[in-house]
Amino acid sequence: MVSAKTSVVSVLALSLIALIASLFAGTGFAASLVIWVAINILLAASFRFVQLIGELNFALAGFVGLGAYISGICTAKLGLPFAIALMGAAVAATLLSLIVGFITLRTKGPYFMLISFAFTEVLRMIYTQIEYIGGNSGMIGIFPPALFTDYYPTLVVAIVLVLVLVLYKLEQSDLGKVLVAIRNNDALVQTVGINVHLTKVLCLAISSFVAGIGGALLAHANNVISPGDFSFLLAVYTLAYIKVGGESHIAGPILGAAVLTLLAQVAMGFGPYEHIFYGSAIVIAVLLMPDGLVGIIRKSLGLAPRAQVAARH
Amino acid sequence: MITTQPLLKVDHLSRRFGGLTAVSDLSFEVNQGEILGLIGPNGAGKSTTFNCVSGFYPLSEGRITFLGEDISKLNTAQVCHKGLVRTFQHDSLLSDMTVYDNILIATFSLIRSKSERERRVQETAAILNLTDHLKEIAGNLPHGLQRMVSIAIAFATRPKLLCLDEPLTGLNQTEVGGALAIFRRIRDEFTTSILLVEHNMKAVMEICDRIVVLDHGVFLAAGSPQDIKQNPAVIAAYLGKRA
Amino acid sequence: MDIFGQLFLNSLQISAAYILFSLGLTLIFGVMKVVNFAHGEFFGLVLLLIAIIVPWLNSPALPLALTYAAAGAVSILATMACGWFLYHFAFKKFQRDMVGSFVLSVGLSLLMQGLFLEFFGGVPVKLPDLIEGNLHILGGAITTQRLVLTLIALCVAVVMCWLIAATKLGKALRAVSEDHEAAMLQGIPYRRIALYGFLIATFLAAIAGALLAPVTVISANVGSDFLIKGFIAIVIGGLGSIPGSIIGSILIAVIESVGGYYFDPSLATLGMFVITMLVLLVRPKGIMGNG
Repeated sequence: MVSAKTSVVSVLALSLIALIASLFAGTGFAASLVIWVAINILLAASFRFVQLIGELNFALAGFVGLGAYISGICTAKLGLPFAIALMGAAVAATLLSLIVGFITLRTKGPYFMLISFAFTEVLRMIYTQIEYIGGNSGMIGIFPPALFTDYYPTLVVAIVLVLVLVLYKLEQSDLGKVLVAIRNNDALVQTVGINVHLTKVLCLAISSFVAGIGGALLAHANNVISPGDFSFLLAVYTLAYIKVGGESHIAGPILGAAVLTLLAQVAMGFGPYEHIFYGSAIVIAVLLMPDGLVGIIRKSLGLAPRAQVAARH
Repeated sequence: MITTQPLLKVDHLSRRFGGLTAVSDLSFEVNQGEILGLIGPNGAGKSTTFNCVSGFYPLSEGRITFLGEDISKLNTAQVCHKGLVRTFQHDSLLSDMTVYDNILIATFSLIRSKSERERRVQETAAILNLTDHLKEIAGNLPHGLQRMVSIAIAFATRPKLLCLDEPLTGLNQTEVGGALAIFRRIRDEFTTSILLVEHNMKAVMEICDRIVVLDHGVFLAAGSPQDIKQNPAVIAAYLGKRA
Repeated sequence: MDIFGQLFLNSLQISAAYILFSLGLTLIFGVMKVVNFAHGEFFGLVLLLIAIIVPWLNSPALPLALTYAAAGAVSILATMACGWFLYHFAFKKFQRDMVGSFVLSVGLSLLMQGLFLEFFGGVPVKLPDLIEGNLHILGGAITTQRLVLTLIALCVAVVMCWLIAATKLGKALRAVSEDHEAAMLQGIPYRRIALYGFLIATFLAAIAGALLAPVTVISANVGSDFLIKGFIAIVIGGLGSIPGSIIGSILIAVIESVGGYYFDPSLATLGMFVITMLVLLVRPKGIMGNG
């Protein structure tokens, strides 16, 4: 078994390497790739956090989009500093998720999925109707802070590392245990005095905080955002990262996001086969690699497969 | 020690589902420090009563009072904070988590300090004879031990009233004996009352201080095991069929 | 023109297709407890195949009806084969696994749409009208072919409901839907029933496609628009409930026709989403749902 200390050391080492590597990314295509992978990792981690309570958060795109637009307004329209834009995005996404989550988390499983999907689409349509943020054509002129223009990849990687670490710590904490318990048997958790509903809302809020920041980072990376960026497909691609990477450990979404994003670049070289690529990735992962890459690595290291806690609907 | 103020008072409880009346005008009490058995043939309304008392179902009519306080409108989590906890007959534990975590979850809402939680888990496990199994995954345990885990989860909240839903189902003779000994200990050492819904008549007669009998959703009889055993109406409705 | 009459006719047409579609979706869910996000692709596949075959087969020598019939038959059979294939190699392993099957079907849907786009191209196709002419009934106008196709669709739906209510197969489907373990104990061959259920559902989606071929603008992602609405219909109506799926479909159809008439289609879709959210909040398991 890998000892806890070895894990901590290796994680820190890898993080340091990632950070240093990102310093050399420059400003060209490599930089975009690094940013892209990092943000996808963040979104995958955010989506996975809600999987702890056994739900597929298809409202992800809604919160990412809100974060993107709020941060875009702060930077491009109001000229506020980047830090404010980032915080604004996170706070807006969290507040919205508290309201929406309180209402929608009364449902479960396919019902929750549908209502989340509906929410995302409604938001997207609202964005197309608002002239201030550019309607259907979107918003332009969202640039990273001047201080970091040449080192934006590093900034992004640093923020992503911190947030993923926080999510990981939360997952390992008592809160994490309660979330997994809720996934396992929420009626039981309720009988021992825990307000299951509010706990679920908290889980979604944490995930949305991260998603909002992801959206802000995305907006400043692409410089241009439009409602079409934040559709259902975003959540589906994120799901692909997690399925390929493996759900049982937080390394899964990280691996999955990295591998798929890089592979997508290679595949894209052959033509516009995005749908086929991501679709196949999900199908192959689900049919042939149920534990994802993490599962394969575990097996090759001789570790026992982690018990997969199933949700009961 | 049985004191005069009843712990739980069920007053004229009725519960209807659509056109069906599951329980009608039921009244009974559970006193402090007693083990009360709730028995009756299948369909008598025991589970429904149980679910109403523990906050799972709303009441159609009537009132549930706990230590003088009306708890009829409270949900399960709130009821737990008042001191009333229940177990489940099926799906009664967190099968993919360790026994330790199963019991630990129950301590979160009531205990703040980490060390106290740890102590509560160890103490509870000891009473339920689970200390050797704390690191095992609950779902992998044999049935008898799983039952003990589900009782441990409920008992970890140190309730004043522990509601057990058919806890002895599937247990063999020895395990039943062990469980009954634990119930006695819970009652005597912790002054915790137990409301027991059970089909195992022998065990019910042995462990209960008093018994309430339901039939077709209505109150049939109440009294000591001796009284109930000899009550002709009860024998006719229930015991007679299962002699 | 009587507005109500027109709206009624519009709703009728739209609901016929949605009913066929969502009957299939809800059937799969009921029997296999699977949320099949790729269901729309069966619909799409039939439309795309017909869109390829009809122009290819069409000649003055052959009556158009025959062309359509042949194209329809071939497409439906091909789609059923596809459905059988997907059942055996994919969905069979994920029965009663709602999350797993949903994720799988999302992947399949994406994959299939990508393939459709590759082989069909991005240009939408409109096929020639099968029957010419317009009718004026109930104060509204409707093309003859739409009316005929709608009536056929409704007939199919009625036959399907009868099948489920009255035949042995239908009873087995319902039994499995309610409690698959009890059904197995009674000797019902679950595996086979699940396969039949899946094939019937595929057939329903396929025939909906075939019937809509003359009146729809066909493109590679035509399935997904239908799917979302079908999904909404069955969730509003209650997953697994046949009457629920019909109610849900009618509701969606009415919103779409009324919304499309008074406002614009995207606003109608918005309204649909909002109403979905409201329904689910009041009845988290759908109108007829009992989960």
